[in-house]
Amino acid sequence: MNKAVLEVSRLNAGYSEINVLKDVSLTVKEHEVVTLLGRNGAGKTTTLKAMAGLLDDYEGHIRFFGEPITKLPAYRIGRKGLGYCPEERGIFSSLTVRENLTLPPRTGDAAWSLDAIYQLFPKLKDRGGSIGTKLSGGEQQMLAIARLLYSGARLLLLDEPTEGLAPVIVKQIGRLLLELKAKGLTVVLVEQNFNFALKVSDRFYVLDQGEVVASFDREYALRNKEQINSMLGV
Amino acid sequence: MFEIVGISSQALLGQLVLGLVNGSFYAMLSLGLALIFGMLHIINFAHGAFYMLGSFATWLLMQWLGVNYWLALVLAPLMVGVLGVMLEKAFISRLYSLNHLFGLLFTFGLALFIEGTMHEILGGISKPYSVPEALQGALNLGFMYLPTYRGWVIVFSLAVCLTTWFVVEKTKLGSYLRAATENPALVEQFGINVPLLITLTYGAGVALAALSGVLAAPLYQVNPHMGVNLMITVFAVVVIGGMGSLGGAIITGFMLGIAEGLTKVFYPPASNLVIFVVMALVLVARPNGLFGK
Ligand SMILES: Nc1ncnc2c1ncn2[C@@H]1O[C@H](COP(=O)(O)OP(=O)(O)O)[C@@H](O)[C@H]1O
Ligand SMILES: [Mg+2]
Repeated sequence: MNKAVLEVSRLNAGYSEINVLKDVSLTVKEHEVVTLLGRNGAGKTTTLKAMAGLLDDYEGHIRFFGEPITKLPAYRIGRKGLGYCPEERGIFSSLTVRENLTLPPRTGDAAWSLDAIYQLFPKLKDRGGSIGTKLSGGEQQMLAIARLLYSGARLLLLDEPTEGLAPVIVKQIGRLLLELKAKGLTVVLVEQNFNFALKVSDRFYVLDQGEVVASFDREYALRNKEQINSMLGV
Repeated sequence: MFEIVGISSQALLGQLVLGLVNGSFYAMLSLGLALIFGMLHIINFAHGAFYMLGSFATWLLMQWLGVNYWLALVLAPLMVGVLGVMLEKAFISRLYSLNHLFGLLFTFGLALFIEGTMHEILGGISKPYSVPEALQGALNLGFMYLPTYRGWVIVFSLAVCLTTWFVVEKTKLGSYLRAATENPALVEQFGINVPLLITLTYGAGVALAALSGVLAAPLYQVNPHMGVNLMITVFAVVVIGGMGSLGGAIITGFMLGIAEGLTKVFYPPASNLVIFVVMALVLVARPNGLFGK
């Protein structure tokens, strides 16, 4: 059995008074792609933020490769190789493409070389001198993922990487995720696009109103597409 | 020599130099303010007090320890910068989660406290500081005599401004600063110690103010309240340039120094006013400043 990369147990969190997450527990194993599904406002982003160290206050425990990272400052979690890409992608407008790409300090021995990154993303090399936010949405998403590879992240948390992108680009991102998985990376994906998630994921958790209401593997998902789609309200 | 509408080129060039000297101070001080504002989102009202402390440190180092100007140029900003770091750690960093007005109020109070304390300890009398020997006299540029120390202030502050600009806009460390100005939480998640970066930025901004104070010591009398009037003008410069851009702060600082100098030649009564008139016009036409976003 592969070892656990991320173990989240009984996460409770909220913004000021409002409770947003209720006893969320989940596990992610090495080389897995795990997707969090759920309607808008279900608490998917909040869950990722807690894992990334970006939530001010929460209850519960989080382990990363067996090591407790509960409530550590975000920079210490980042340095352990937990990479996070926000929904807005977080490309900086005051940095060039190259500066954006090489911004995170390199950690561990999993950090990709620039050559390896440019081989996979030739566009980023050609446009290295442009302002980061001048790239198209799809290119910015590629840059955001490439940046995590450059940092040497061992786990990628990707919040809706396909949101607002053309179908061709979504396909590219799907191929990229499968390639990264084949190279041994572990991914936690947040997706509204179930059909996309189905192509790349090994396991799923469904969040509803801050609670995990279902979890299943790929085979189950393939057999019960209709039922899951109706659960997601699409 | 030539004349323009009855004004000799000597007078014109003389005022141009004075304008550039003033502009040097405007540029360095507004640069520090912009640097601090970018990372801390606080308008550092204590900036003039740190400028004064830089000047006083220079004078005290000479009086008490016999430390010369050149060493003071390094030591005074370092000492004041460390003080800034401690103040940020102890007080200012606790205000980030509150409305930014609290930071403004705190630094305003801090300025009053520092100035009052210095007044209490050293009295209100101005302390003279002589120009270092190597920079006394004047340079013959062919078309004019340039007092050496003034020339030094202009060249040195230009070098400091350009170096600061280069570090922020073109280096790795600068890319951390620029990114953290946009999205500190994400930069921190990438493994960068942003709180430390913020502390050091405050220290660096304050050290820049102190460095201006060292430059000012031989030019103006060292006095506990020397920063007060200067900062009123510098805040106007910042309003004109906009807080958004370091390059903008530098250019605006020098341009307004020159504008002030030239006004002194052509219509002296307006020379103290010209910057504020420009400020009013800019506020009407471009409320975010010439270089603001
Ligand atoms: N910064 C915030 N302040 C207050 N409430 C928030 C904030 N962010 C999210 N919420 C609320 O928390 C709930 C979960 O949000 P989120 O985790 O973003 O859901 P999802 O990513 O699944 O769409 C929603 O009801 C949302 O309105
Ligand atoms: Mg979301």
